[in-house]
Amino acid sequence: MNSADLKEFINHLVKAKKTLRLYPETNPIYEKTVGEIYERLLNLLEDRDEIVLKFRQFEIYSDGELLYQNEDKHESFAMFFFKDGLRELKFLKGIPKEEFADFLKIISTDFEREVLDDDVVTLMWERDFQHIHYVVDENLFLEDEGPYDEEEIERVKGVTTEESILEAYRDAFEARPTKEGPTIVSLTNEDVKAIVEELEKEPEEVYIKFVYLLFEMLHMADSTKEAGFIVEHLKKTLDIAMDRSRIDVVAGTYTRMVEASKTKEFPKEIMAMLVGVVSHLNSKEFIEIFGHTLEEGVVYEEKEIEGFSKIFDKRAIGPLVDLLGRLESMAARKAVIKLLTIVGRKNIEALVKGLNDPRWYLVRNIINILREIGDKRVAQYVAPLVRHNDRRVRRIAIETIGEFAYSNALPMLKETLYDEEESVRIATVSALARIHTPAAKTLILNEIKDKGFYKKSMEERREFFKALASWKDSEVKEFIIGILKRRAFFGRSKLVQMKTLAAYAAGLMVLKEAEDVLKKLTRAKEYQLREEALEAYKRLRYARR
Amino acid sequence: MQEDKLLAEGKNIVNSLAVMLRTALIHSIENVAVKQTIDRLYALLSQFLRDGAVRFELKGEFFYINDERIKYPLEYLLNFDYLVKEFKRKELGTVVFYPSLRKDDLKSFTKAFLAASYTDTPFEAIEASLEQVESIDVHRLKKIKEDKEMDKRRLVKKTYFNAVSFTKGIMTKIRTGEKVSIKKAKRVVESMVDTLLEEEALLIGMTAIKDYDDYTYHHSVNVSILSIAIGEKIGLSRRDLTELGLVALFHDIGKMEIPKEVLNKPTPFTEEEWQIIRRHPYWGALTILKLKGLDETSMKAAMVAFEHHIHYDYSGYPKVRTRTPLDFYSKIVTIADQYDAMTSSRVYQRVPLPPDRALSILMERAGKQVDPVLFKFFVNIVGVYPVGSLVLLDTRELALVYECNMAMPERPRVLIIVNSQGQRVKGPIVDLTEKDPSGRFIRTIVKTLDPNKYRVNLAEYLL
Repeated sequence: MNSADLKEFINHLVKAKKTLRLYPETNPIYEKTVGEIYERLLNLLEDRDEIVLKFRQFEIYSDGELLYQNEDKHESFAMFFFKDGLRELKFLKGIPKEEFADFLKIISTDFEREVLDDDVVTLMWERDFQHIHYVVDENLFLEDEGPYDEEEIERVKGVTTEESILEAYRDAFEARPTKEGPTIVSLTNEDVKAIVEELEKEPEEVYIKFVYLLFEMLHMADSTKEAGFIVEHLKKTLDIAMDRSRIDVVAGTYTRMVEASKTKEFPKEIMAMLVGVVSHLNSKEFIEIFGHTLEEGVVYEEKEIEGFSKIFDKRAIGPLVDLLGRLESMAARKAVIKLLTIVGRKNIEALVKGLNDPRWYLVRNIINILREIGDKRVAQYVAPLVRHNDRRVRRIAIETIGEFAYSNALPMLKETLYDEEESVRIATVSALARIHTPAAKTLILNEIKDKGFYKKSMEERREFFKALASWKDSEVKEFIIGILKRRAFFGRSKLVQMKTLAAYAAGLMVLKEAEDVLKKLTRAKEYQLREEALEAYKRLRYARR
Repeated sequence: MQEDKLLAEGKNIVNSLAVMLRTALIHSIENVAVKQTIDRLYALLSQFLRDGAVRFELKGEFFYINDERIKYPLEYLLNFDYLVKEFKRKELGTVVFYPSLRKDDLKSFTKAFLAASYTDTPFEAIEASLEQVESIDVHRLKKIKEDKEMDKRRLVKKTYFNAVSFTKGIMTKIRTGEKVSIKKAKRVVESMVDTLLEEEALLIGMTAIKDYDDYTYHHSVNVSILSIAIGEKIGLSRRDLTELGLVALFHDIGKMEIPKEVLNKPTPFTEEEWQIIRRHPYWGALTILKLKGLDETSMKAAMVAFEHHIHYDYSGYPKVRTRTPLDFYSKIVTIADQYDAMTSSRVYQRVPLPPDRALSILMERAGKQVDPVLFKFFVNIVGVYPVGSLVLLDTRELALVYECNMAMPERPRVLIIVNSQGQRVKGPIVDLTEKDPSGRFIRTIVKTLDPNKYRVNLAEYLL
C-alpha cells in the first residue's frame, strides 16, 4: 500500500461525506457510493491489519506522512473530526460492510443543520464499532470548565486525625454489635420479568406521561407567562407524538383537555391557552404532520382512527380534504376518508366545500364520504355535480341522487338520460327508479317508447326495463303485457328484442297476468326470447308455490 | 465474520454454560435434562471450534469470549450473575475449549465444576479433575496487581473529578443564563459509562467521596454514577445508560432556584422554607425544558427532575392530581438520590449516615418510598458493606471498605487503617476472600462503625 492509495481513499471519504447527504439510503447512488469506497478500504487492508489515521486541526496523517490538508475550518475534513476531540481513527482488517456503511452514515450527518445533541464521537460511541477504533482527547469538552486539578482533590481529601481514628478503634471493641444491615436479596425470575415488562412499556408511555406532567406543572405555574411556556411545550409534545405516529397520545391529550374544560380545572387564561392547543390540532400545520406519517406508510387501525377523530372539528375538514387529494396509497386515503366521515357528519357544510375541488378523484371521494354519512341533505349538494365534466363524478353524483331518492333533481336527470357516456345514462335510469315518482316513470316510459330506443345497447335497454319493473302498477303491467303479445310482420327482430326485455321485466315483477303469454313464449324460435321467457315463467311458478 | 458471529452468539454460549451447570446442580449428570443442556452448549461451541479454540474469560464482572466482551439481554441476567459468582467462588478465571472437544468432555467439566464447591481449594480441584481432558484448559482468576490497580484508580479518579468539574461549570452557566452544551454533557456521561463498564466497583467506590463545600456537584455526579450502575445491572444499552446518566446528572437542577439563604440555612427549615424547597422538582423540570430542544431525552429529564421526590407510593412531593406511573428512570434516580443524600454531609444534615445504615433505612422504605425490585438491584450493586463502611475485623484490625465484591458481598476488599497492634496505618488493601492454607478465611468483618462519628474522611483514604 502506498500513500497515494491512502490519499485517494481519504478523498473518497470526503466526497462520500457530501454525496451521501443528498440521497436516502435506499437510493442506488447511495448504495453505489458506499460499495465503491468499501471496496477501496478492503484493497487497502489486503496487505495490512489496520489503517491508522491521525488528525490534527487541519491535517490528516498516517505513519507520519501528510495525507490531507485543508485549512478552511468549515470545509476541512480533518477539522470535522478534530473539533469533537477525535485524534485517531483506526480501521481494522475484517471490517464488515454494514459497519463501514454505518460509519459513513455518521460522518455524512449534517451536524450543522440537524438539531442534534450528538457529535460525531457520541454517534460512534453509541454504535460501538468492533472494527473501527478511535482515540479521543476528553479534555476538550472541559475546555470551559477546566479539567480537575490535584489541588482540588487534596482539598476534598482533608485529613483525619490520628486521635479520632484511635478513638474509633477503642470504641469498636466496646460498642454493641451493629444492627443487622440488609442482606443481599437474590433477584428472582419474577423480578426480572417485572423489569422486562416495565422496560417494554416504557417507550410507549413516555409521551403520555410527559403530557400529564405538563398538566401537573400547569397547576404549579407562578405566572401566566410560565403557563404559556408550559402550554407551548404541550403543543410541541403533540407535534412530536404525531410525528412518531402516536395518535393515541394526541387523542389522550385531547381527552385530558376536555376534562380540564369540563371541571374548570384551570383559570380562564390557561383554559384559553388550551383552547389554542385544540386549534393547533385542527390546523393545516398539524394535519400535515399526520399526513407525513401516512405518506411514510404508517397504517392505523380503524379503532385508532375513530379515537383520533375526536380531536377534530370543522376547521380540520379543509386541511384533511386537501391531504386526501394528495395521498397516493389506498391505506392512507382510507384513514383520511374514515376521519372525514366521522368529522364531516357534524359538519356537512364544511365538507361539501370540497366538492368544488378541481381534482375529479377528490370530488368522487368526497361524494363517497357524503354517501357514507347518509344524511339526506347531502343530495342537494351533490345534485349539481351531475353536470361535472368528468364522467366518473357525474355517475357517482347520479348514484347518490338515486340513493337519497332526491326528486328535486329530476330536471337534471332528464338531461343526463342523454349523457354521452352510457354508464352515466344507466346510472340515471337506476336513479329514476329509486326516486320512483310518476314523473320519473313517465320519463322512462317515454324513453322506451321513443323510436331511438332501439339504438341503445342491450345492457342500457335492460336497465330501462328493470327500472320500469319497479313500479308494478296497472299502466306498467299493461305496457309490458302489450309488448309481450304484440305481433308484427315487419321489424320482427326489433320486436323480438323488445319482447325479450318485456319478459325480463315481467319476471322481475312476478307478473301473474303474463303467465300464459310467457308460457307460450317459452317455445319461441328465438333463443334469447325463449330463455328470458322461461326464466320469467319459472319465477312466476315459484312465486305461486 | 466468524468473530462477529461468535460475538453475537456469545450471550447464548454463556447462558447455555450457566444453564448446563445449574441443571446439573439439580439433576444427576446422567439425567436427560442435563444431557440436553450439554448437547445445546456443544452445538453452540462446535460452530466456532472449527476455526480454532474458544477462550472464555471472566474479567471483573464481565465475560469475554476470545477477548471480546459479551453483552447480554436482561432475560439472561440471573444466569450471568450465577456464573460470575460461581467462577469467582471457585477462583476460576478462564476456560479454553479446543477443537477436539467432545460432549463427554463437557460432562467432565460439569462434574469437576460442581464437585469443586465442596473443597477448600476449588480451582485446584477443577484443574486436577480435568487433567486427563485435553480439549479443555482452565486458568486461575487473575488477581489485579497493585501498580496496575493504581493506574486504573488514577483513570477512574480522572473520570470522576472531570465529571464533577464539568457539572460545576454547567450549573454555573445555567445560573448565569449562559448557553449549555448538551453535547458536552453527553460526552461526560459517556466517559462515566465507559469507566463503569470497565471498572464498576472502582467508580462506584468514588461515590463514597463526599464534599461538603461542593455537595451539589458531587451529589449530582454520584447519583448519575449510581443510576448508571443500576441501569447497567438491568442490562440497558450504552445509549440508554447515557440517557439515564444524563437525566440523573440534572435531577437536582431545580435547587439552583432555591434562594441561597434558604438552601444554606444551618438551622431547621420553617414550614414556609419547606414549601420553597418542595418546589425545586417543578423548577427543575422547567429549567430542563428551557435548557434544550424538546425530545424524548428532555422529556425524561424533566420527568426525573419533577418526580424524584414523589416516592413510589406518591407520599412525597410535589403532590400530583393524577397518579400516572412514575417514569422508570425516576424510580432509579430516587434510590440513588436517597442513598447518596443520606450518606452525605449537607447543610441541613451535617452528620451523614454510615453507608450500611443508609442502606438499612432504604430497605425499610422499599415498597413505600422506593421501588422494591429496583432496590434489590441496588443492594446487589453496592453490597452489604458499601464502599466507605468502617469495619472491625476478627483480626482486631480496623478497616474501610475499599471495593465491593459482587460475588461475595460480605467479603469486600478493605483498606486497613488500624493494625492489630492498635497502630494507625494506611494499608494494606486486603481481600476478605483470602484464605489460609487450611481453607479458612483470614479475615472476617465482625462489626461496623459510623465513620462520621469519628470524622473519618473517606476521601483521604479512597483517593
